[in-house]
Amino acid sequence: MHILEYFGQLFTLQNLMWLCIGATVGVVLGALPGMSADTGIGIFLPLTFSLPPTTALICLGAIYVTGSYGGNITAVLVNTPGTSDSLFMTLDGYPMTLKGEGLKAIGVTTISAFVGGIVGCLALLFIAPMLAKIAFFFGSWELFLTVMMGIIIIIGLVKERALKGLMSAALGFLCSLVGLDGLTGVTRFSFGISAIYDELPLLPVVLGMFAFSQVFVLIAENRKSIVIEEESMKGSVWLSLKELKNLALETIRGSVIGTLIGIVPAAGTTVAAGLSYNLARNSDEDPDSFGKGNPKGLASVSAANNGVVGGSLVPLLTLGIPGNGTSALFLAALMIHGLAPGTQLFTTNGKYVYGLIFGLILANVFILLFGMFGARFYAKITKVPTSVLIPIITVLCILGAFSFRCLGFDMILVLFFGIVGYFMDRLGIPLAPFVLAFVLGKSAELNFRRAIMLMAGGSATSVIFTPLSILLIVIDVAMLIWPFWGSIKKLFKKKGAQA
Amino acid sequence: MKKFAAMLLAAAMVFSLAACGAAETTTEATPSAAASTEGTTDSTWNVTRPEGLPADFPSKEITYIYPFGVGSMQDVYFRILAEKIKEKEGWSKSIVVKQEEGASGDIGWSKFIKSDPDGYTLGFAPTAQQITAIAFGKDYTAENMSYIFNMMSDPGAVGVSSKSEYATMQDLINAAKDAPGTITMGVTSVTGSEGLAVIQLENASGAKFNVVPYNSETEVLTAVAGGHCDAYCLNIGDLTTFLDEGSITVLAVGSEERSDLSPETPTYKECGYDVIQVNSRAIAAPAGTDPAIVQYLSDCFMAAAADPDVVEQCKDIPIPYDTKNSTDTSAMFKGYYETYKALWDTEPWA
Repeated sequence: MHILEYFGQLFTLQNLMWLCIGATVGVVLGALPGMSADTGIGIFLPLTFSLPPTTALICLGAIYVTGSYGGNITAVLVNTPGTSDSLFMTLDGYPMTLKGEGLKAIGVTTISAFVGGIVGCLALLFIAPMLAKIAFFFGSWELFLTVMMGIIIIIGLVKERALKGLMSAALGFLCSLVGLDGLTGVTRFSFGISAIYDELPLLPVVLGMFAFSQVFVLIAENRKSIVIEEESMKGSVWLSLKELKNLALETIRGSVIGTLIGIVPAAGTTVAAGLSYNLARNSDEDPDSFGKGNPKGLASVSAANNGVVGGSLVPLLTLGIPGNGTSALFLAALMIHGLAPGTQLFTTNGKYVYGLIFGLILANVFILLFGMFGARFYAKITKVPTSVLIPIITVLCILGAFSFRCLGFDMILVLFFGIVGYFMDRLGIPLAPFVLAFVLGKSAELNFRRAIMLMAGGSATSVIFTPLSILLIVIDVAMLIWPFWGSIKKLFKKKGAQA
Repeated sequence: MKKFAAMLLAAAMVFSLAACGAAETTTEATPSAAASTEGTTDSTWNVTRPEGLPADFPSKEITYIYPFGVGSMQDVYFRILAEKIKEKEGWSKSIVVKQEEGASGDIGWSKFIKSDPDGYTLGFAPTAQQITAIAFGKDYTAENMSYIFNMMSDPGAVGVSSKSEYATMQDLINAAKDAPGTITMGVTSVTGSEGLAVIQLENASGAKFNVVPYNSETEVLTAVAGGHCDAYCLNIGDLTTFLDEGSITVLAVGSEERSDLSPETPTYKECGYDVIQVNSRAIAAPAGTDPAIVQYLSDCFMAAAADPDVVEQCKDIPIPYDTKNSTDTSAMFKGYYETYKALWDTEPWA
């Protein structure tokens, strides 16, 4: 039992100390807008040069795991996604807080994030070399179809307000077009502003749309505190057995989706969370309760979000393919310690990799402790008078936007999108489609155009009709039809009755 | 309790400010621990302070402007060198790495070239900088720089999947000649050294590729290994993992001589195509910097690169070393500038 031996080796004072340091740094940076796991790993990378490889990897791994969770708390409690990854948490988490169920929301997001993280790690531990080859099957066309799943979700999100929702999505797409076109090297819609020569930066836009616009809403409504209802905070962070059973399906499904999507290069957290959310809603008996504070929605996205961590490390450790930006930084960390990715990492260098994986599992346990025992404490934030809260959120947003690239221009951006977001909210235009389209638009566009370029050689059918792409097309179409299945059935019945 | 929560929030705000300061990216270049310093006598360290060098140099921190993200090979290597110099020369001040990302390097480079040539601002100066300068009419051209030291030169490389039907560079090029536009060639940027090398290869051979740009080196290699794209044109330093794993092969390299990282692979020239594709990565100061300081820093970096501790520390990083002093680096980059300028004049790519 080699693997268990590695587990035993993990428990040295040095390893545990760096694990705790990494985990704390991750949670704090994840919760602060503008900071993320990337920031943490970037700052800690040079600091870990002198540590033994296992310890260094454990520390960085802990930052990665807890960093992707830290944003959940602020997203749920104050509608401020600490990272753009946690934007889906605001959909059901924040409405729960508004209803005074903030504590329960933290419980739900913590437990499902824990489960998601563990499932991802187990996949990494046991079947990484087998799963890794999945990455090779995804060409540009397959990637486009995968990203489309995330975009199709928009339709489900805006069912009742279709026109306004699509307007919002169209605006989001438009914004995603700004900047350097990766295929031709030409810059579009930058109006000569060098700060957006590459692209409209993700974080200031997301922060502005979600968090900063919320500041205006709080001011306009002249609310005393975030909780709308007068009664005190209801419920407990500890969920009852029955509640847990209710959420089990969504959580497990989200974890598996997160892990699998994490493996696909460049698909990322947004697609994983969106897909999981969509499945949870469409398969629920009461889909309309989603987006209005349904714990199932929150559980499905939290689990998927943290499942991505383990998943994204699968192709990284076995093939050297980073599934997202954060794991690309991880690649640098491995190289610095002389560990080249590849199957030999699991055999000859096993002690480092298994050390890392067990470290990731412990970091997930840390999330559980941190979330469950700290919840009462964080939840106090919702009782803080808005006169105190508003200036703080404002400053955090502006600083967060600034610290992303340290450009003053980004502070103007966050303000601009805050105002846009506020007026869209007032006009009843949903914000989520805008952000989804903005986040995924560029990836969809580039992969589609790249697929077209690859077809130019005259072998279009061989690109479009691979077994994998047929499967993906079927899933895409099913997702398109699913939300309207009820209406379609009714339509046919009516026709039948008339005839 | 309300008061306490409010205080906590305020503390978070202050922390965020402090963290922002950190993310403003002046991280001190301290990669190696004291661990690597033990017991070396200065047998290889042979740096004398040239005449005319200000006696107190460096009297303040030296800033090194790096216009890309942390963690790449050249970033790590620079930090290791800088730390070694500080230690061996007994400086009380450090070389501080300042990240200035954005606009494909332009933001950092523009700031760099406008800074005072007092020897306290250095910058990362790769081949790509010259290409950008030419295409966008910027002033950070080779003439306006005092090159200090060349860290590495990453030769270009063309290759295919290990399952590919093309076994040699000639096979690949001929296929693209016989059926123009049907062979897909993955690169990371059509306006970078790789995209330009493909244009040069086409000009030299009469072939025509279907050039497909991807977002990153690994994306290109994943697509080639998975059979979605026929060939790649990248730098050899990007290939290590995929070569070890056996999913791709390399057909030819773009350097003048064969590369140490793949000695059995022929060069473009040996295959009959007169094209040079090398991505050199150097350190420079703005033109007008005191020659004594340039000389001194050049000697320091040369000595650090040869230091046994540094060599030991970097032995597992696949660095395509090309250690060159100030004069040689200058000559090399002026050559790059001339080549790309000539290409721009006949065939502007942007």
